[in-house]
Amino acid sequence: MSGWCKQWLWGGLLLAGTVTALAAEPVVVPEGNFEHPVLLDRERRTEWVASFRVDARPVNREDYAAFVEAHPHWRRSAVAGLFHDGGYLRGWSSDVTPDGAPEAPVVQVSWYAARAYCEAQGGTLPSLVQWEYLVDLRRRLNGLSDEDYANAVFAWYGEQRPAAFEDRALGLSGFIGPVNEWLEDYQLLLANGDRVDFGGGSCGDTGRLILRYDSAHYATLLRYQMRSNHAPETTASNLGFRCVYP
Amino acid sequence: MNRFTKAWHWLAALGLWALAGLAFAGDHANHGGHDHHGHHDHHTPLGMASDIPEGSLHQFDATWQTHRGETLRLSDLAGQSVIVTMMYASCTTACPVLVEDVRRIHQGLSAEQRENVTLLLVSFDTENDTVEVLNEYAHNFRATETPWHFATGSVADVRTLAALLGIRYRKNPSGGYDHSNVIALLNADGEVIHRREGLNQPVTEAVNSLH
Repeated sequence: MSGWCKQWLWGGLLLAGTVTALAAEPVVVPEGNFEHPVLLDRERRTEWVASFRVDARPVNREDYAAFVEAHPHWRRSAVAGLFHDGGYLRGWSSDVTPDGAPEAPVVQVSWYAARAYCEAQGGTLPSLVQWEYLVDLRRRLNGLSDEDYANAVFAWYGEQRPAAFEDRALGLSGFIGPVNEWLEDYQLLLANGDRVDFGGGSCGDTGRLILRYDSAHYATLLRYQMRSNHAPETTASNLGFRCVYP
Repeated sequence: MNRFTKAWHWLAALGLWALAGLAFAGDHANHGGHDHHGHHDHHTPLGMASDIPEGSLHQFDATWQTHRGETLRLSDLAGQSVIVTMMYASCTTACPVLVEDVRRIHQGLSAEQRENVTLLLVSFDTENDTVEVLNEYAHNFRATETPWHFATGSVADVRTLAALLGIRYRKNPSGGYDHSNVIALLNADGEVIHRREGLNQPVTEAVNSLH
């Protein structure tokens, strides 16, 4: 299908209301205070987050196909081996033809590839603080209880099922949704150099780093850790991304 | 392949079950052609050349500024071994030890090997570690000679290099950087052939890896 034809088709689908492509317009996120649910250093409990813009949904397969068309060195057949683990866009039927539904989040992209995509859009991957601030902001603005949040997050870990979060306030989809998402600084540094961790020194007991000992904080801690376990070349089938802009 | 053989066991302990649901794809990709597009001034595109090995850091096309005011790309170091670490000038605890560890590995090499080795120390602190600051730092460590390169680059490129070397870091509230202490050795093709974490450890293994 030609690019023009594709565009026309998606335009038609959009008018029919079945594809919310316009929701891809970045959403302006208000500034605010972020209380760290996981304590990553001794001194900092809360942090001021400046206003920024963020993609309303994860980058989808059609978006990513347009990117590799424009940037041939990020096509599957050309990408440098240093920047992925071998599974990059594995399911695609050709260099520029996504598998499955075009509007589904793109997956099997490494951190390096996700960063390159965002850079090409004039943005970056969200920082950990920006992403987690959004999760928290959506919870508060949509009145989600701690229990509902924890249940949704645990279900997400266990089943990788679509989002249980409805966001009427900001119009953002995903976050706790169809895929996990890459962040610019996703790798935690809970240990400082040779010290095991600042909480005391016993190995493996990172659970003490959560701000409160309830199921919501525990669910959040697991998200931080799960993300941190990825290598930057990882290309997983449930790992996508979105971009932020100043 | 895995440059990150050093597992964060204590992280894995809690995170593993959650990871169990992840489906990692196998190697079906077809690597071959190369291209180079879209230069941008704050983030270096990832350069390619078909004669560079798959795991070679020479594929990472960032431009660094050294303490001598020169520009340097990793691919410029093709044909040489490189001892590389990351540090920052205002760090008074781990970083001086890292610099000395690099020196100790270098001194452990034969005179002949030393002819063909570059020492590359890249700063996390892109705000403060200018060429001038790094030059003064090099002088303080009596490390101004040819093999020493203290270098600065863009924020994005510093993060990419750290990722490639498996170095975790974060700016802390006091304006410094918390970081893991890693020294890596690259062979003449730019591949990581040795990687060590920790400070002030024996250098034998690192030295032997360059034989």
